[in-house]
Amino acid sequence: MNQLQNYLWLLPVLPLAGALLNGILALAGADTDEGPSRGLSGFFGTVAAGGAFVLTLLLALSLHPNAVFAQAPWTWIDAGSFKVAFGFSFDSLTAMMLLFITGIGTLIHFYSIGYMAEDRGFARFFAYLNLFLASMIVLVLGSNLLMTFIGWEGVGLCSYLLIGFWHKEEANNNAARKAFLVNRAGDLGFLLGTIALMALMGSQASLEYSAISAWFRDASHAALFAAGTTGAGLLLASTLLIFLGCTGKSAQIPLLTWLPDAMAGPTPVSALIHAATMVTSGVYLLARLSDMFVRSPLTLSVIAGVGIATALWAAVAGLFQNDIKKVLAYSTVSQLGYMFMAAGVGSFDASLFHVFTHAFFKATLFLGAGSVIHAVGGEQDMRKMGGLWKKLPLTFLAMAAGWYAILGLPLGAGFWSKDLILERAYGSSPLLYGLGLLTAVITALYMTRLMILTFFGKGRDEKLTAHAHEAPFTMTLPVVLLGLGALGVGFFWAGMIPGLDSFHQMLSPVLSPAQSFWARGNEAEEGSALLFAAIGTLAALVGAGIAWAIWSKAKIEAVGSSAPKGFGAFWTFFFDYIHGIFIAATKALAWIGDKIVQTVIFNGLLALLIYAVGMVGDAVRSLQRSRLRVNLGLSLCGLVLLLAFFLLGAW
Amino acid sequence: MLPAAELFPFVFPFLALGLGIVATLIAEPFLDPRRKHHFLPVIAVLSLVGAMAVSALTRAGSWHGLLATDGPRAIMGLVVFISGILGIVGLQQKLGEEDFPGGEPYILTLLATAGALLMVDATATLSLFVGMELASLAIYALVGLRRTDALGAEALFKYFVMGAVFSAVFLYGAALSYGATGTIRFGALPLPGRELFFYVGAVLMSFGLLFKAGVAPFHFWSPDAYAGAPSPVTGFMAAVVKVGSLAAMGSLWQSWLLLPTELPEHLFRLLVLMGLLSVAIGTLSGLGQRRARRLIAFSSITHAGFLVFALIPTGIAANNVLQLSNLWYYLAAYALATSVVMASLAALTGKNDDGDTLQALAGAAKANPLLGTAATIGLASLAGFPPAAGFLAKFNVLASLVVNGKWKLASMLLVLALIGAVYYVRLAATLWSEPATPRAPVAVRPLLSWAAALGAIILVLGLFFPSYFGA
Amino acid sequence: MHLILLLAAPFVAALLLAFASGKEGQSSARLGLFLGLLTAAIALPLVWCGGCVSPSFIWFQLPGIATPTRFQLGVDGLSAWLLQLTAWLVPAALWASRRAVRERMREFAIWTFLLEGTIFGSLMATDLVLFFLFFEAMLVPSFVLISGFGGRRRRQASLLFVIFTALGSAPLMIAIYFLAKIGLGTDLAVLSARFGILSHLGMLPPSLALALFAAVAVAFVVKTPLLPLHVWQAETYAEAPAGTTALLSGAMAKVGVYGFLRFVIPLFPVEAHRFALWFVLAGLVAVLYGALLALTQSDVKRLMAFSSLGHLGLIVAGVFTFTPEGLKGAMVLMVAHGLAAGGIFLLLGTLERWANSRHLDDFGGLAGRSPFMATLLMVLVLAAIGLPGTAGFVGEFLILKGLWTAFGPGVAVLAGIGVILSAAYALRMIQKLLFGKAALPLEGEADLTTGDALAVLPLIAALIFLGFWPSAVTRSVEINLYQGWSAPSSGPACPFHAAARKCCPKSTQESADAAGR
Repeated sequence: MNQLQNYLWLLPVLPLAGALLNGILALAGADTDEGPSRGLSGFFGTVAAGGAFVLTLLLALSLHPNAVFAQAPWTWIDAGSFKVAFGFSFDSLTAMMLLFITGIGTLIHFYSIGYMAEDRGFARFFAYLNLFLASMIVLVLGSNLLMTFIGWEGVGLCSYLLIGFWHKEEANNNAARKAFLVNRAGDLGFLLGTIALMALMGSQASLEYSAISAWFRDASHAALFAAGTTGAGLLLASTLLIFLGCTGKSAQIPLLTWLPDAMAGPTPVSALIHAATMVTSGVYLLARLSDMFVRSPLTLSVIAGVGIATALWAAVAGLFQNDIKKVLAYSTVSQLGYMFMAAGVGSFDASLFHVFTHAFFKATLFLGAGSVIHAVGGEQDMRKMGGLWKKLPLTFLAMAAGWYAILGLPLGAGFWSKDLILERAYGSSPLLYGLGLLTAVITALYMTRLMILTFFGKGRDEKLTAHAHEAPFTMTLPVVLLGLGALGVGFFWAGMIPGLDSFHQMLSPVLSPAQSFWARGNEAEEGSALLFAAIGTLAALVGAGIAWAIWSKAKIEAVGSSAPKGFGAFWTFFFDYIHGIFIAATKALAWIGDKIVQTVIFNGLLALLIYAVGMVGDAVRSLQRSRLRVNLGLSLCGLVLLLAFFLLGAW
Repeated sequence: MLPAAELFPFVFPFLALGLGIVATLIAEPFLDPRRKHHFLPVIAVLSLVGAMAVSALTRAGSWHGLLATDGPRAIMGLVVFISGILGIVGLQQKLGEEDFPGGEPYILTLLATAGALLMVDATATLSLFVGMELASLAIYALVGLRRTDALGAEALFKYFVMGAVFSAVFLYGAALSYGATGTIRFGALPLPGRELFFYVGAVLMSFGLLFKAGVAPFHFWSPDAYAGAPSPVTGFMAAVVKVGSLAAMGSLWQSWLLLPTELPEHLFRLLVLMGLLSVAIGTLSGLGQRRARRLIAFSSITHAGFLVFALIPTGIAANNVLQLSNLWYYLAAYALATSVVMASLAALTGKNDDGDTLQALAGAAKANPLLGTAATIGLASLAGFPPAAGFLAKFNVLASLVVNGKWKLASMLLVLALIGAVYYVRLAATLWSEPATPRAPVAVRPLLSWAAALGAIILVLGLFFPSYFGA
Repeated sequence: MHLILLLAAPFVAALLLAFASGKEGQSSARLGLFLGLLTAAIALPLVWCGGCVSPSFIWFQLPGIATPTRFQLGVDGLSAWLLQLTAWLVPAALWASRRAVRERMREFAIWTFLLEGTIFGSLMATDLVLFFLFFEAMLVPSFVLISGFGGRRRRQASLLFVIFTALGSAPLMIAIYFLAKIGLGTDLAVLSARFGILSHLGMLPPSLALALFAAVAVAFVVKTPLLPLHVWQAETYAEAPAGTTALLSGAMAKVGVYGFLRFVIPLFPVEAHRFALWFVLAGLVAVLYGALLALTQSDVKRLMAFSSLGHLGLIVAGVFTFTPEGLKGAMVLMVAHGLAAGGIFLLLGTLERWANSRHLDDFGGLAGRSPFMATLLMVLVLAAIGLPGTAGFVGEFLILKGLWTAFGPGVAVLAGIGVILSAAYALRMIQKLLFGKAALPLEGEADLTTGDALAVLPLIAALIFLGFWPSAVTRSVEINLYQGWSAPSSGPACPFHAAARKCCPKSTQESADAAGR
């Protein structure tokens, strides 16, 4: 079965081919008035994704836990001593990531067939979606940092294209541009971090993950970055810079402002890219480089701090939103904060597990929200909805499952992963645990608020809610499947139930060296898992209760835009203000460069020079009298003078 | 009794020209004004081509110590002929446009060519003077072709008077040197005790020649004369007169360099002064010019200055004569470039050259790409850009200055040359720019198109095969 | 012989076109395309040849110089790729310009071929005088192309261009003459050998060497250009016809960098290393300055001109790191930028034709109107800002690494900021052009025709191919990289000796006994 590993290259190539096909379809059908054939492109797109999923499944099944499938077709970059292979490697971590990426990806492709059915750019949409899948696969499958970077910027590009998918609206384009630029800032961190890492590893520098892990695991190298050496500085710089890259991709403080705006894209995109897969690649990268990160405790504590701060901030921001997708966006940011906090306390497996479960329940919530929006004719303001549970029972049930999971109520997916994280956090520092718990309460608050405003009470805007109807099965089927996932997938690692920890088993070959190294560093006092679970559940229930008390009876009227106002606005856009400062500074510099340096200094000097030369010319020309006597006189004077000069010289 | 082998090959070019002149003279009255400009130019060009062909037969040799020919002289002769051809085809275009009554301009052109050839070949003051006058008189008449044109009349008058004065100066110098050496031939030693006469004579002769070349401070006539003459004549005289006078100056200079006197170094001080002066004046006054012909006039002053510096010998030939290869090469490059430019512009400036202002010339090259291209290459050569011979010419002059340790002089000249380049570029830019009012392409006579194209090609080849151009 | 053939090819092509009928623009465009492709086909094998030298013969004697100037051409990995770039850009430029130039196509093609020829010459010359001739001769055709076919303010632009470049190269001429004068000859191989030895033995007064270094460098600073001698660039690029701008920024600007690599560094290793940091900083200033000004421009072509300024600055910075990464990165980025910028300028030419304007606000909604055009432009712009998977990324990453290794993090971060800013202005341009609603009704065809796309698609293909297989460039460059470019300690640089040893032992003989003389 191992000749399968010779087909690794097929994983990205399948969706890529789909992207090309759809791209050609889109361009070919552009000038026809009914546009390219929807059936065809939908089919290609979904089959490409499904094919990738099947292949992943086969590979994952044939993969021995400690083994690695690797394939390096050719040397990509070859600059003297510095070489980078164009390589793929498929280990258990990759397998886990790819399984849910391609799996959920396929479902969302399927969902999009229904959701985008009316859209003129159907084929283009599927081209982008396939391209995204391909890049995401490269990101996870790449065997070295630069391969990952191809995917890293590839997904950034696709996110850019898909946020601005409806490019007639300037707002969407601006959101897209913002996303790309903020990510570019992070990507620079990624690149510089990579370079710093190479500088640290010195002569035997290599970007292969295997080599990096090996190098860090080799105790003899510890001296190279012992405290006080330049190596220590390089390690710190490298880890922080790479983490900066992660904050960009995974919308953490300080580079998080783009994700809420990214909701301008079609909802399936928000579900796939901005909830389930792309935004979690930062967490993946941390896990990939865990061997490196655990050797820089300072960075890890920074990560934990950033993680919990983001989680708390975003959760609060979620309370102020009226746009259903914005709520989910901030909730995503908040959940990602959990994951980083987990990584920060050195338990990468827990963070990855939350990535895994979160992918399911957040995708469910987004797709459900998509169905709702689809049902009420594109309206996203929750204040205008209400009482939809009768109209959309399936969607309601699915979203309820998602709600159950994200709150972390017993046996739901979030129950296991979130409690695991909080437990580990407590082990590292009770403060983190406390804040995490608080975040959990707020999470329950805004999620419950969302459910109430959307599904309960009575329709607040009749003309919207009146003829709301359940979406076609292409849309409901994925939602329901994912909803089931949201309830079930937690059992892959049900901490308290012995035997149910296949997820843990799967990842341990990749992560355990790092985590055990970390564990040796700081022993955590163990609390009883049951107690943690109880407290977690209690927190969720408290939150939900408060929310019910406030909003189930509240009188809500939709006035003005769905954007938050007052303190809510300040809180929500706090980091936009900070970014604003940088943008303003850049603009000022640009203005100075254009108006002052270029125009005044350079062009001015040039003009001055030209003018001066012209002036001299005129002066000399005025000597050129055109009267004969004068001319003859001058000539003869010249003659005499020269002759005199000559004679003086001769004698 | 002269051995034919010596005499005849040597006279052939003159014979060819003379035949051409006679034929034109005879044909002229019998043609009606319309057809004159069809046939006469053809005859004239044929005779010039013939002259070129036979001058290929002439071997190095001397004729009674009055005339002589050798490698450089042969090349200069060819240059004179080519300039003559370009002048004639330019005249054909221009006069044909203006329905000029009568064909004497072609005869005059041929006469001037013959005169210039005499100047080039002269080895004695007398033959030099004959050639000079032959050329000058013909050119006076050419400058004044437009009898009704006030500018033209003024130009003719001014040029004639000053020319007369400086012919006198030359003659005086010639007389002095004859008195001092007892011979009219170049390169004779002054008799003991008469050095002063000899020196003064030499200086005065040089002044006479440099006047013709338009070197400052004897340059005042040239802007008006050039701007007053019809544009083809402007190009023709700029080229032919410079070649004639400076070639003669060259051979005089060569002969003086061989003499055991300190004449050269004293004279050279003057030359440096005059050269620098004319380069400066030509460059700076040229910047503000708006008319193509005045621009060419100042360019001619500038180049006259450079040519003076080209008199610095570059090496010693077998027969221990000092070589002036810089001078020959520069002369060839300059003469070709100027006559190509003016011949092409002749077709573009319209009746009576009213259209030779920069505004009027806008877009001319677009209307007539071929002539425009030729003119552009010519201007590039004048400005001293590759791929035209003018570049190497300037470079050699500057280089030889550096070789002789005249760093400051060379750098001054370089700066001036770069500034000067601006006004050629500006003219070229105008030619290719967008005209205010769209202009129709001019009907160009085939002779002119061919001659201009060939001239331009020769200019470019000149850069890559300098050794065939006297360098 | 091959090289002489290659050098002759463009001139012959120009001659053929001159004799062809120019009545019908379309037919001369076809002829031009054919001849251009033919030339490119002749150039192609050089990439594998690696290095070869043409037979050399005495050309002429400079006054006061003992050693004669020889006519000899040489090509190695460095020049081979720049030759490719030029050779393939020319047919693309001709083909893309045919609708804009219409009935004056023959003239346009002739001058374009002459420009190509002069660029070839300066890339192949092994003798400083020969190089200088071609280097200067570039002015004339580019001048005619700009002032004859350019935009509204083409006259000022062409003047500015010619004056700046001529002034810039004057010191070079003096330096060349001086080098020859002090008996070092002008043949690059011999010269660099002798010069290196001299400067190593310290027999050359450092002040003199410094003066020569400056004189040679300034010419290339103008051509590249670097601040503050860049004033001609924006104006020229904006006013020149798109086809020409593509060549100017794609090929001619690279001759400036080539000059640094081929002449400045091999001839003056000591000085070059002494001032490396200064050049790197100058390059980075250009990067940031170009990016910032590109952010403010409202004229599309000016915007791209400043972006070129930035990219060229990054390339120069990479060159002067003297690390293998830096040099190779610079090489890759040169090719990448040539292809990307060239393609973008060609497409902008079509846009300019459609809208009769270059003002960003006059465009919009192209993605809806002409998706094909939009797609190609998008891809090229993404390539220009160095998206991984295109050649640009490899170049930029290698240069960043080189900068970090040579001059530490600070410099690398500066360059990195430039990279971010480049994305900013590129996306701004894309958004204004392609997205939103159409501002002006556009004339001309509804979308890029397949014919027009054929001019650009090969460039895109090359960009992506080199993005995944940059070794094609980096490997062939090694023919040169390790012969003295990296460190002065490794002795005088002599690019052509290795090449000569490879192919033609005869010419080694010559340069050897030339060195003996």
